[in-house]
Amino acid sequence: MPLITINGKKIKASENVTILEVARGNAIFIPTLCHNDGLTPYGGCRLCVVEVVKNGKTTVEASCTYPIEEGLTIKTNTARIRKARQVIIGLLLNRGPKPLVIQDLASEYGVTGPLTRFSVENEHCIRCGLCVQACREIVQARAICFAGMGFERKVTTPFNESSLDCIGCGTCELICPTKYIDMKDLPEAQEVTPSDHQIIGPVRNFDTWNTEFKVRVCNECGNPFYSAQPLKKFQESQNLQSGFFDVCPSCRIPPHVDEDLCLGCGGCVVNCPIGAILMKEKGEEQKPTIYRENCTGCHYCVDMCVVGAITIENRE
Amino acid sequence: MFDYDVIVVGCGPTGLMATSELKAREVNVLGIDMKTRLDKNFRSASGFFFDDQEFNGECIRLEPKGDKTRIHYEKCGFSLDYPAPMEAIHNSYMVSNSGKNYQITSRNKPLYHIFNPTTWLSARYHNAKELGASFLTRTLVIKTKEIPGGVEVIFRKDGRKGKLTCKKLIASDGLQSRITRELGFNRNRGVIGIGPTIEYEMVGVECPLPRGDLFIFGEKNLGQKTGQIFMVPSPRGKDAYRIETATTPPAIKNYQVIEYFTKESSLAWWFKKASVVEKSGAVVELFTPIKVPHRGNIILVGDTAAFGEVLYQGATMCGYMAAVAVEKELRGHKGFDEYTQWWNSTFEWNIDPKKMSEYSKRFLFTRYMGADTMDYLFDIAAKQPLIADDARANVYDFAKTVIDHLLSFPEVRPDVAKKLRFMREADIGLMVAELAKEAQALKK
Repeated sequence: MPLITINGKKIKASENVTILEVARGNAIFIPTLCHNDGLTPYGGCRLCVVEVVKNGKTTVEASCTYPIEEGLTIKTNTARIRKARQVIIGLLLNRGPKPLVIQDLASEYGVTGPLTRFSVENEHCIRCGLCVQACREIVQARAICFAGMGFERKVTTPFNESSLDCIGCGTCELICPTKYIDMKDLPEAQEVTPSDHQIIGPVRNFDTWNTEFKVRVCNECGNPFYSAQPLKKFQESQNLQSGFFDVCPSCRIPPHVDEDLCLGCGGCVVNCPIGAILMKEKGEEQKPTIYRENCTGCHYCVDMCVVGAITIENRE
Repeated sequence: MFDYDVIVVGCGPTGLMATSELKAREVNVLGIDMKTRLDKNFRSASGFFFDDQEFNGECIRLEPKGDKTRIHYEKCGFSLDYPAPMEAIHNSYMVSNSGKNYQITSRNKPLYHIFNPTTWLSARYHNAKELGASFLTRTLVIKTKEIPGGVEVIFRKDGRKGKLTCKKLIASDGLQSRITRELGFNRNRGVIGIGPTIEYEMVGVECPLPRGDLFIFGEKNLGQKTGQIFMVPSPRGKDAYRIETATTPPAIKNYQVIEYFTKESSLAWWFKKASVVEKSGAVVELFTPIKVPHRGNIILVGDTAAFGEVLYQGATMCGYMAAVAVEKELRGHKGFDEYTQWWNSTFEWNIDPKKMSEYSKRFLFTRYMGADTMDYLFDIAAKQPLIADDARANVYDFAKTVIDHLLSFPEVRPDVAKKLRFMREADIGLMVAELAKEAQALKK
C-alpha cells in the first residue's frame, strides 16, 4: 500500500487508484466537472489540478488521471492551484456564463467575470465529454460523439442527424453538469420548436440531438414514463410477461404472496435485487413480506418462486 | 468504537459453525440471518457425509456413539457431535425414460452416510446459544461498507433500515450472496447458470429398488425433455425419500415436474401410499470460485465464494477455518492470507478447474446421450453393475466413473463409444455448444 501525503496528512492509499479517488475517500474536496466514478477518467475540464511533489520536483497535474505512487506529496489548495483554477473558471465563463454550476464555482473562487482578452460565447456545453462517455460506457449505445477539432469541437449525433442508436434513455441529460441537453417529455401537447418542427405527444424529445421517441403512457396515472422503443426491446430480451410495462414503476403493485402455497424457502428474499422482501414468523414456519415502499415492481421474485406462490395481482 | 468484534452474515451451516467457534474463543460475535429461526432447515438440502474417503481436501471419520455420531475432521483438526445415528447407503441408481435402471453399488464401505439437515442445524444453533452467542434474525443485510479499521453493515429489519459496525465481517450468506455481489466480486467470475430447485420429503414411498439414491430422467418420468429428479434416502424412515428437481427458470417448472413425477409419471405408483412431510425450495446459482475470498476486513466463506455448493462437510470446514482466520486477524496476524491458501489447496475445483465440468456433466450426460442410447447402455451394463469400492463416485467424479464403466463393455457400438469418449473429455463450453446444436436441429 503506497504511503502518500495530502495537505500534510499521511495517508495509506490502495493500489491502482488516482489522486482524486484517494482525496475524496479521505474527505478532501477537489472540484471537478468532468469526473464521474462510474466512468473512465478523461481529464477534460482540468479543474481538479493539484500540486504534486515527486523526487523534489513540483508539477501541476490533473488529479483525476494521475495514478498514486509511493511517497508522493500532494497539495490541493495552494495559492498557485487557486490561481490555476481561477483561470480555468474564467475561460469557462467565456464559454458561457449562464450554467449555475459555473456561477457557483466562480463565486467560490472569487472570479468576477470572463477573461477580457476573449469574447463571450454564451454556450451551455463545456465539452466535458460526460454525456459521450456515459452513452458509450454505461448505456453502450454510442449514439453521440465529439465532432470537429479545436474551437469547432462539439458534442453531437453522427452527421447532426437523428441517431438510430439512441434508445432515448435520458442518461446524457441526467449526467450533464451544465444542463445543456434539452430533454422534454411531452404528454399530449402539440409544440412547435424553434426549427419549425412540430411535435405531437406523447413523445420524449431531445432537441439537442434532433431526436424524438414515442413515449409509453402509464395506463393507471396517465403520465408518460419511458420511451416505448427501449421498453419493447427490454421486454423481449428479458422475457417479461406481456403488459409488464403498461403501468409505470410508481403505479406498479408489489406482487402478492399466497402464504398457503409458499414453502418459506427464502428464494425470493435472496433473489430480490434490492432487498425489498423480508421474512416474518407464521407459527413454526416463515413467510415473506414484500415491502411496497422498497419494491420496484421488477417481478423477479415471481419468476424465481418454485411453487408459483408469488403472483401479480390484477388491478381492479 | 465498534458494536461487535465480528459480525457473521448468514447463519446456515457455515455461519453457525463460525459463530459458535468464535464464541468458544471468547470473541464478541453477532450472527445475522434473514430467516425467522436458525434451528430449522428451510432450504432444499440433502445431508450426506463420505466416511473415510478423501473429498474436498478432508478425510472425515464417523464414529457411532450410541444414539449419537461423532464426526472427526482429521485434517482440519476438530470434531463435532451429531445427535442421531447416521444411516449408511450402499447403492446409487440412474433410471431412464423407459424405467430401466443402472446400478452403482459398494460392498465393503458405504457410498455415504445420510443425516437430517434440520437436526444438524438445530445442534449447531443450540451449541452456539449455550456458549452465549447472540443472533439477529429476520434481518436482511443489504450492504457492507469499509470504514477505517472495520466494516459497517447496513441492514433491513421489520421494514426499517439500521446499521451496525464491526472489526471483521464473515460473509456466509450463500450462493447468491448479496455481499459478494455488492462488493463487485461477481464481476470477474464466470457464470455457469441458475437453477431453481424444489424438494419434497415423502414417507411411505414404495420404491422397488434396494435403498439408495436415484437419478431419474426422461420425458415419461418428468413430463418434459430436459431436467432431472434426484431421489435421496431420508433419515425419517426406511421408506422415506427426499425428491428434488432442478430446472432452468421460470422456477414454476420445478413444481410442474415434481407434481407430474409423483402423480402422473410411469413411476407414480411408487407414491400411491406416500405422503409429503416437508416441502422446501432453493435457487442455485453457479459461478466459478473466487480465488482470493477476502478484501479489507471482509472474508467470504463457504458457498459465498465457491463453485456450486460446498455441501455440509465443506460448510463446516469453512466455518471453522474462517473462525480461526478471523481470530488470528484480530490478534494482528495474517489470518485471511492463511485461509486463502487453505481455500485454494482444499476444494477440488480450486485445485483443478476441470472438476467444474465434471460436476456439471452429471446433469448434462444423459441429455447429451439421448433417451434411446441410455436405454441401450443400461441394458448392456445390467450384466455387471458398477462396484464402487475402488472407484471414486462422489459428486465430482461420478460422470467420469460411470462413463469409464460403460466404456469397459466391448459390445458398446462404436458410435456410442465415440459419444461417451467425447463426453468424458469435453469441457463445459464444448458440451453446452453441442447441446445447443442439438436443440436447433430439433427445432428445424
